[in-house]
Amino acid sequence: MAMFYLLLLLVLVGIVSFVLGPIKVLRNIIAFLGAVTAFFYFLTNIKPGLIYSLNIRVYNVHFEAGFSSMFFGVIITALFIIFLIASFHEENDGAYYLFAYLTLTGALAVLFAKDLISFFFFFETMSLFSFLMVLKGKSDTSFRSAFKYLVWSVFGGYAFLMGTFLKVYYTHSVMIGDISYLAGGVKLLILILLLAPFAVKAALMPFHLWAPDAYKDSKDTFTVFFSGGLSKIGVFGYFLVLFKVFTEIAVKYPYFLKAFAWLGAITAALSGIYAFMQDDAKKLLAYSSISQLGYVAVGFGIYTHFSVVAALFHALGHAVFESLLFLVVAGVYYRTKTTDLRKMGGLIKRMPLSFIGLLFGIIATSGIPPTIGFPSKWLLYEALILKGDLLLTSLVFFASITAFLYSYKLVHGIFLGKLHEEHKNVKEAPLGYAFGTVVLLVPLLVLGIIPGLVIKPIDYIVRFYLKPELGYNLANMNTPLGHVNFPVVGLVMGLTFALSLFIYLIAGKSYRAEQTDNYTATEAIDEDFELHYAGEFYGFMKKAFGRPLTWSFEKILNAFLKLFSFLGEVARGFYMGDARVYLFYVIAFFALLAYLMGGKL
Amino acid sequence: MVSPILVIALSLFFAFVIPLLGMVSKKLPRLVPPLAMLVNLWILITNIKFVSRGAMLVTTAGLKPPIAINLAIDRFSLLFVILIQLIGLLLSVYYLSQDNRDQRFYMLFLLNILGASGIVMTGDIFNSFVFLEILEISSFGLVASKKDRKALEGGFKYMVIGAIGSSLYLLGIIVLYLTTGSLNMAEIAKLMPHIPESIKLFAALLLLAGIGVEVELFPLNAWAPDAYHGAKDEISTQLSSIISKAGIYLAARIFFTIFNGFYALKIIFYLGVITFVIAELAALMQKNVKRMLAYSSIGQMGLLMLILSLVAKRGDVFVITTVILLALNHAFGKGLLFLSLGALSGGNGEYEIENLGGNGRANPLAGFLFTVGALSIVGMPFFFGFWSKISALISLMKTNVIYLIALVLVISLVEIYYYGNVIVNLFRGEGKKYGISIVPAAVMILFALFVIVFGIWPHPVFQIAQSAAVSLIERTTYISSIIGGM
Amino acid sequence: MNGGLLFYGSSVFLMVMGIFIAITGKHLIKILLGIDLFDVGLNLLIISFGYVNGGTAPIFSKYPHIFKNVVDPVPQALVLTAIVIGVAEMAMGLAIVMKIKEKFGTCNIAKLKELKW
Repeated sequence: MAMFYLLLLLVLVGIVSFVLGPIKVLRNIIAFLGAVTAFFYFLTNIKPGLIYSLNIRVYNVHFEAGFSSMFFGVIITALFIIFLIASFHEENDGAYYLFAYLTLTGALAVLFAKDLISFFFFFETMSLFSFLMVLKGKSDTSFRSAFKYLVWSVFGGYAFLMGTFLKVYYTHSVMIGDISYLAGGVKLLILILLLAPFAVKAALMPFHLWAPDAYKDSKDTFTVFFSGGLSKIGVFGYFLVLFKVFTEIAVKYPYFLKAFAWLGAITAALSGIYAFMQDDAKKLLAYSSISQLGYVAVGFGIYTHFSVVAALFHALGHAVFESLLFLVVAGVYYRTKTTDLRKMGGLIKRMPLSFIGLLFGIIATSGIPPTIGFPSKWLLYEALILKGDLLLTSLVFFASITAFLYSYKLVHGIFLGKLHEEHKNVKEAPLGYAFGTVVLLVPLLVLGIIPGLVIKPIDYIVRFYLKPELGYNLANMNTPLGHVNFPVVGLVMGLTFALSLFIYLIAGKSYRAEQTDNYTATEAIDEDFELHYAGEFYGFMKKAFGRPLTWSFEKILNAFLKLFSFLGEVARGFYMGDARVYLFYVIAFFALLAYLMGGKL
Repeated sequence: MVSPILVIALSLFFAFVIPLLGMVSKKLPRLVPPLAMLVNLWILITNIKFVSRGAMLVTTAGLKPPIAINLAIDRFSLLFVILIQLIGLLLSVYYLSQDNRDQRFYMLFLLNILGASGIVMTGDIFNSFVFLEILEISSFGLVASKKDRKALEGGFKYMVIGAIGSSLYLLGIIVLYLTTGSLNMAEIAKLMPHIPESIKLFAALLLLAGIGVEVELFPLNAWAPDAYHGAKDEISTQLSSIISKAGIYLAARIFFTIFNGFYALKIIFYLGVITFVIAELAALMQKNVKRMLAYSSIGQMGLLMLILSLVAKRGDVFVITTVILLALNHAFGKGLLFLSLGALSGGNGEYEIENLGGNGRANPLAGFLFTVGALSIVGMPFFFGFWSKISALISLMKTNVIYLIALVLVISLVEIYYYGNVIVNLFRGEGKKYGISIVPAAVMILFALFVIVFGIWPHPVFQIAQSAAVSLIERTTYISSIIGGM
Repeated sequence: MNGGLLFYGSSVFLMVMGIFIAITGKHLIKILLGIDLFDVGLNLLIISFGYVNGGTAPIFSKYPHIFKNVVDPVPQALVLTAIVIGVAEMAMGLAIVMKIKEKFGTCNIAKLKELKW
C-alpha cells in the first residue's frame, strides 16, 4: 500500500497547489511540505521487495519496489525538493506545480511498475506532464522545444509499447520478466524496442535531438530536475531492460552490447564537442549532460560488475553535479536575466557562493578528485582497460578531454574576466538557489572522498545479476587492476592545491585592481570596449571539427519528415475538391470491388 | 415501461410542432429540441431494465415480425441510441444560447437525431434505409445551413455522394429481399446460410457502398473533409459524433448480425487500414485546423472500422467492446474538439493555424478544452482515449495481426505530431480574445468531463460496453428473440 | 418474378445514363437530374423484379387458386416510399443549388472547388 499512498499523496498535493494557485505563500508552503513529506515517507516506508497490486477492474496495476527503484527514487525525490525550493523565486502559477507533481508521480510510478502496460501508462504520464512543464518554459522558443520533446518521448513510448505487445504476444505475460527463452530475431527486436524510450530519456545519440532545446528552454529551476532527475528514468530503464528482461544478453548478444557501448562513447565525445561550441550556458550544460549520460551507457555496454557499478555511480554523480551546475546557472539567470556567455563575465566577486558551486561542479564533471565524478570515472576507465577495446577506450578518454574544455569555457564565461557594466550591482543568488547549491555540494564532496557509502547499495543492486569483482569498503576499492584509497587521493589533490595557493600567495607578484580597470599597451580603453572573450572561444577547434559536424543527425530526421510530408501530399491529393470526381470514386470503388470479387460473384 | 416507438413518434411530433410554435414566438422553437431529447432519454432509460441479452421486440400494426415492421432493441442498440440522444441533448442545449437561428434548423436537427435513432432501433432492413435517408437529407440541410459559400459547397458534395450511396444501399436491400423474400433483419439473418455465395457477395457490396458513405470509408469518404470543413462547428460535431455513430451501428448490425462476417468484413478490414493511413497522413499536411480535425475524424473512423472487421476472425466480445470504446472516445473527444475550435476561432471561420496562434492563451478555457480533446484523441494516459487505444491494440494482438500494431503506433505518432503542433501554437504568443457564454462552455465542460472522469476511472464504461458487446456477438439469441428458434 | 429483358434492360440503361450524366455534367441541376434518373431507373428495376407476366393485383380472396399469378406487392410498396424519399432529396438538393447560384453566381460544378486537399 505504501507505494500507492505515496503516489496518491503526490497527486493530492499537486491538486491542492493548483487549487491554491493564486494564494502564493500558502501554495508554496503546501507544495514544499508535500515534497518533504513524500521524501521522508519514501525513506521510511518503502522497502525493497514491497509488492502491491491495484485492481482497477480493467486490468491490474502491479507495483514492486526493488533496490534499483529505491536508489533512483531517492535521487529523483531529493532533486525534486531542491527544484521546488528554488522555483519559489520564479513567477509560477498553480498549474505549474500541478504538472510538476504529476511529473514526479509518473516518474516514481515508473520506478515501481512491475508490468509493462502500467509501465507504459506512467511513462506516458511522465512524458505528458513534463511536456507541459517545458511548454510553460521561459522563452518563446520553448514551444518548439516542448513540441520536439513531446514527439520524441511519445516516439519512445510507442516503441516501448510495440515491444510490450510483441513480448505479450510471444510470452503471454505482461510482467517485466525474463524472456531469454524466446527465439532469436524477435528477442533482439523486443530488446531494441524496449530500450528506445530510455535511450530517448537519457538522450543517447541518435535519440538526443530534443534534449538541448528542451533543457535550454524549460524554466531554469525545472531544468535542474529535468536534467538531473528525469534522465535517471532512462538509466533506470537501461538497467531494467538489460538485466531484468534479458538475463543472458552478454552471452547471446555481445555485439549488441558492444554497439550500445559505442553509441554511449560517441554520445559522450560528440556532445562534448558540441558543448564547447555553445555560447549559451544552458545549452552548453545540456550537451554536457548528454555527454555525461553517454558514459553511463558505456558502463552498461561493457557489462561487467564494476562497469555497471561505475555506470550507476556515475548516474548518481550526474544527478548531483549536473543539477548543481544547472542550479548555479539558474541563479545567475535570476540575477542577470541572461544565459548568454558573451554577455556575462567577472561575476566571481558578486556571486561567490555560486562561483564555488560552479567550480566544484565542473571539477566533478571533469572527473577530478576529490569529487563525486572521480570514483565512477576511475572505475569506468579500469573496466574499459580490462575489456581491452582500445578504440573505445581512447574515444572515452577523448570525451573527457572535451569536458575540460567546456568546463573552462563555462566558468570563464560567467565568473572570470571583465565584469559587464550592467552587472555592477548584481547580488548573490537568492536563498532558494543558495540552499540547493550548498545541499548539493555536500554529497559532491563526501561521496568523492568516501564513495563506499553508495557503492554498497549499488553493489546490492548489481551483485544479483553479475559476478562480483569489486572489493570495497567505505574509502577503498580493490579492482583486478589494483587498489585505490579515495581519501588519500583527495588529500593529495588538496595538498597540491594548498601548495600552489601557498606559492601563489608568497611568490606571486600581484596588485589589486578593479575588474573594470583595464589598459592596453599605450592607451586607456573605453568602458564599453569588449575585452571579455567568450564567444568564439574555441574557434580553432570549430575549424577542426566543424566540417564533420555539419553532417548531423538532424538531417536524417529532416529526411524522414520530408518523406512523411510527401506521403501526406499524396494522400490529400486524393481529395480533389470536384464533386464529379468524388462521384466517380464511388462508382469506381464499386466496379473495382465487383471486378476483384468477380471470381466469387 | 414506455414503448420505445414513442422515441420516433415523439421526435416527429416535436419536429412538426416547431413551425407552429414559431408562429407564436420566435424564442419557443429552440426550447423544443432539448425537451424532446429529455423525453426520449427518459423513455429509453425506463426501458433499460427490460432489455435483456436478446432483443426487445416492439411490434407495430399488431402483427408478429416477419410480416410487420418492428423495432428490435438489444443492449448494443440501446447503448448507441442513448449515446445519440445524449449527444443530441448536449448539442441542443448548446444551441439554446444562439438566438440567430432559423426555426427550420431545429426541425432539421430533430429529424437528424430521429434518423440516427431510427437506424439504431429498427429491426427492419428497409426501415433502416428510410431512416438512413432521413438522416442524410437532414444532414445535407444542416451542413448547408450556414449558407455561405463553403457550407453550400460542402453540403452539395455530401448530397451527391450520399444520394448515390443510399440508392445503392436500397438496391442491396432489394437483392436480399428477392433471395430471402423478407425484409426483417432477423429473418434474413436466419436464411443467410441458404443464399448463394455470389448473391450474398453482390448484396454485401451494394450495402457496403451505402454504409461506407456514412462511416467514411476510403473511396466513399471524399465528401467528408469538405462537408466537415464547410459546416458550422456544431454541425461538424454532429457529423462526427452522431451520424458516423449510426453508420457504425449499421455496419456492425448488417455485416455481423445479418451476414455473419463473410467477405464484406474482409473488405472493410482493408478499406479501414487504407482509410486510417491516408486520412491521418492527409491530416498531417493541413494548415487549416478544422480540415485537419476532419481528416483526423476520418482516420479515427478508419481505425474503428478496421477493429470492427476483426470480429470476423473470432467473434470476440473484446473486439466489439473496443469498437464501442473507440466510438465513445470519438463521439466525445472529437465533438469536444470541434466545439472548442469554434470557441477558439470566435465563430468567424478563421481556422488557419497562424490565425489561431495564441488564442488558447487568450481564451484559457477553450484552449484547455481543446487540449483535453486532442490529448484524449491521441490516447494520452488519464484520458479516455488511452483506454480505447490500448484496447484497440490488444484487439489487434488477440486477433494475431501483430504487424498492424506497428502501423497503428506509427500513425499515432503522426497524430501526436499534428495535434501537438496545434496545441503548441495555440499557446504561443498573443492571441485574440473571444468571449464564451456560459451555456456553450458548460456543454463543452460536460464533454470534457466524460473524457477525463472515465479516463481516470474507466471501469463502468468498460462494463457497459462489454454487456452491449455480448448482446451483439450472440447473434443467434438476437434472431431467436425476434422470430423464434433457429 | 420475371419481368422480361425489356424491363430490366431499360431500367439498367436509365441507371447507367443517370450516373453518366452525373459524372460528366457540368451544370449542378444536370447532375441532380442525373442522380434522379438513377433513382428512377432503380425504382423501375425494383418494380420489374416484382412484376409477374400476366399477373393480377395481390388482393386477398376467397378463392386463392384463381389468383395463381399475383404480382409481388412488397416492391411496389417499397418503391412508393423510395419515390417519396427521392422527392425530398431532390427538394433539398434544388434548395441547395438555388443558394449556390445566389452565392457563387454560377451553377458550374467546376467552380465549386473552394474546398479541396
